[in-house]
Amino acid sequence: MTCRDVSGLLPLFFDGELEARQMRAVALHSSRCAECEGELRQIERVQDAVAATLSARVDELDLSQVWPAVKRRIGTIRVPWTQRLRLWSEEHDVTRWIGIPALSAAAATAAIVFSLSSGSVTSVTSEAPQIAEVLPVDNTAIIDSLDSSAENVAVLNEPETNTTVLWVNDDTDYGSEGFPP
Amino acid sequence: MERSDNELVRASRAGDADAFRELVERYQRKVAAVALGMVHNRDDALELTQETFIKAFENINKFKGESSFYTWLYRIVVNLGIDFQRRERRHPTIALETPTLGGGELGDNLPSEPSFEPYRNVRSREVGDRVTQAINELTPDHKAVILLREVEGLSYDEISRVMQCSKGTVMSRLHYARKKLQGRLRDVL
Repeated sequence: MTCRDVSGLLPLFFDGELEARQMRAVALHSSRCAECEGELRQIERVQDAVAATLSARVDELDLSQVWPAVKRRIGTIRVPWTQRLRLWSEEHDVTRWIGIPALSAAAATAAIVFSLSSGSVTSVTSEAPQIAEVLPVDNTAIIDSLDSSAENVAVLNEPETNTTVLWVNDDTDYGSEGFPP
Repeated sequence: MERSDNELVRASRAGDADAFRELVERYQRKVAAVALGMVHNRDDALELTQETFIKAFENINKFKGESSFYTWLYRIVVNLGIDFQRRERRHPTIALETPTLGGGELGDNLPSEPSFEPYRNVRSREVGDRVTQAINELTPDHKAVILLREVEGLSYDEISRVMQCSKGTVMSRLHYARKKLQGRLRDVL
């Protein structure tokens, strides 16, 4: 390797960013070449100076102030119950086993509420077969109000199956790691 | 037993302030070092450090764990630092700690005898002030790259994740920043 080959690789060598083979080649060259070794020393001096200066200045900061100041501010940040619920369900992996019973319970509740509110009682005559007649059920939900801390709430009606879906989303997309720009 | 970052993040998400406190105490020095390099004085650096952790708490449910927590924290402090500097350029204020010969902020730590390697004694006022001044003259992006590499020791990959740019960009910014610092500090290093 010549100085020309090595000069562009010196910073990468210094930072340990080269492959092993290249690392060996640059190390070998710079051990024999005063100019390239001098270049490496120069990079090292700058690094030492920057690191030591910043370290000395951090020592002068009163970092004991950081947490109390942060605590005062985050004390006012409320974790929405929806977020706590989601975290809890993720942690306990309840999505699978809670789904079916919850759905059944909701359906049963809806049926009871409907039958009570409609006041219709199906009478079975003596001539009728002893099989309960299945009547078409109007299970349209009426939403009076929604109380949510989420930013986005949508109500979706699907007329074909007469289904109402409440969609609550408090996730704003901030990219892959979720930090706002 | 010490809890891992991920365990503390999970607890913080559920509103556990003590868990978040552990994260703050674990990383405040690292964050403060970057903050100090990004802004001109200690008060601003402390404020930037606090803002970084507040922002982290506000957005902790968005942290997906695809990178390490500290990389994510660095991204926050670097972004806030760059924003701060852009604001400063629009509304320049007089730095409270403008380095002056004979009265810098690094204290009275002049070596009692001349050193053969002055860069090993950066607590000396002159070198410390000159280094601080040279860092301040870099652009925000170059400053961030040099701090993440030289002070925090991040790899090029980690820096590219923090800065959200390519590895090639990291290499070229680092090269430029180092050359600039070498030029500025040639007579004291």
